[in-house]
Amino acid sequence: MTTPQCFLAANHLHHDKFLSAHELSFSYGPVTALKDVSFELCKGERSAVVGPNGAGKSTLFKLIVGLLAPTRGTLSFEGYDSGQRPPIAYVPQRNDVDWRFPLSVRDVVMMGRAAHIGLFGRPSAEDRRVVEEALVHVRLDGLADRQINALSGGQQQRMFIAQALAQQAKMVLMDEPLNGLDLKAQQDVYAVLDFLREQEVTVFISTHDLDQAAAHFDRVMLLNHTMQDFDVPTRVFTPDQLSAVYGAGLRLVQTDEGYLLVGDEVAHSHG
Amino acid sequence: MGNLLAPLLEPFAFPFMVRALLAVLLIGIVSSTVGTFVVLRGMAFFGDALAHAILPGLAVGYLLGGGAAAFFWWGLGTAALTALAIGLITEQGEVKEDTAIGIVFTGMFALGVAMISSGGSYAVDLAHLLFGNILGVSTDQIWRIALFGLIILLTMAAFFKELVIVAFEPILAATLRLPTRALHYLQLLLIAATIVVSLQAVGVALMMALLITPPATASLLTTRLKPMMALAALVGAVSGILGLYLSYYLGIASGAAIVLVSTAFFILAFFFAPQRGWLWRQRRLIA
Repeated sequence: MTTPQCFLAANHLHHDKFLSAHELSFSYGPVTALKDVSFELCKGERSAVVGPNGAGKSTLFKLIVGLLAPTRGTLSFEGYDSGQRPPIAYVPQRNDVDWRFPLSVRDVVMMGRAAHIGLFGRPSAEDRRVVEEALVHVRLDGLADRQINALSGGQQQRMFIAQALAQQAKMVLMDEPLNGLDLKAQQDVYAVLDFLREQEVTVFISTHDLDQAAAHFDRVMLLNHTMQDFDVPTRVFTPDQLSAVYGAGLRLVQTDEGYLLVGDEVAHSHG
Repeated sequence: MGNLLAPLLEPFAFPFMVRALLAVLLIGIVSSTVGTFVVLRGMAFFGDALAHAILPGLAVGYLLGGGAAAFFWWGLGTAALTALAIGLITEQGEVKEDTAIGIVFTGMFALGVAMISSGGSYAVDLAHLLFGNILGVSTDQIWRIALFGLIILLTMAAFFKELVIVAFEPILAATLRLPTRALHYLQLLLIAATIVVSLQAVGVALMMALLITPPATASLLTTRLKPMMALAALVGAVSGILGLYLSYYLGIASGAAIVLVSTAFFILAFFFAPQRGWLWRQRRLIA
């Protein structure tokens, strides 16, 4: 495979390969979470992974970011030796964050600089400049001194993207970033993701919302322990493929508004 | 003026009261500062367990009859070992953390009681270990509290940025390749050392109050970390001093008096804290 798969993606300009996964597998003891997953991601590409709960999405993210090591298969990053990886940010799910923590938005963004500052060090003028720029890029510069609890859901997501920018991450992984956000807040997050694309930052998110995945992402990965498909949304979201992954209880209805999943409860109890 | 100050100064005509005052000041500052992380990470149960679990270490010091220094070193060793044991059992992943803590806590505590009960003046000595004896603090002990308190605070200051990241966003700490495991154990050891340093003030049974009540009070009054730590240290120190007065004039146990004062501060903050106190919330509901 010499031409990166993401070359197929229609609506972006950059086709340089960012990472390749080859027969990536991971087991928690006897339980197989991922099996023989092979794919490539390009620089600046924005892709989504969808699949039922427990399909291995979080495991895949942890492998990419290096929190887990694959039990089999390889993961390599273009321009890096094996085992090495560029800075990658993993935005936590909002429910996993203690929002009462006594920190300001700026404090949290500055955390992204910790590796640059080093042990015992204090933020340099350069660190402060990078942080202020990141805040401007996600349009939170006016709220930098707010306690994190005083942010809306969309602002909280943008704060973590600013942290990724401060980290100078080449890739941003986000777990269900759009859950519970209203339309305006989602649009604001997409505007920031557009900026990440301009910076050639690869974005990979997990979502349950097939409609969002179809509307806003270059490619969609359909995952249920094995990879069912990874292609442009129109080719991935076929009734056959979806029922193969989500089970027979699910029907997909294509309306003028987009895709409608019927019987999602079945899918949720599946994993 | 001299008459007004007399009741305030009177207790300190006694050298042991001056020593006690110095000790509670130092202990209040150190335990509240470290306790801020205990509160933020939700480790109150761990702190309480660790305090109780050092009893067998103290018992060895007591049975060997080495005085305050022996108590300190045996206590420190036991606390460090217990912190490591709880960490390792939890890392194994087969037992939940609070279960691991509960087992180690009660097992060690029972061992301590068993050891002390084999000695002579069981009731009195156990009471001192359980509830502290700040009035009996020696000059040597004050120096030890000051020295180790300083080491604890300097270590925290050195690793502050990293400890905050591990507490708030452990995934970021891991992706930044910070030594998260080492930092976690460093945090446990800091808490362990703080408990041993502070033990003389309130004893094993009430130690948790010293760690969590002043920071919890401070958390109601500020939304920034460093001010929270400073405020917690202030509340801790003032609670120590007021508790000492209370103990002197009402003739109640000093450890209990200190804890009661800090509890009173928390209740005040809980009801009257600007923005976040109960009273403000009621007002907002009415308005």
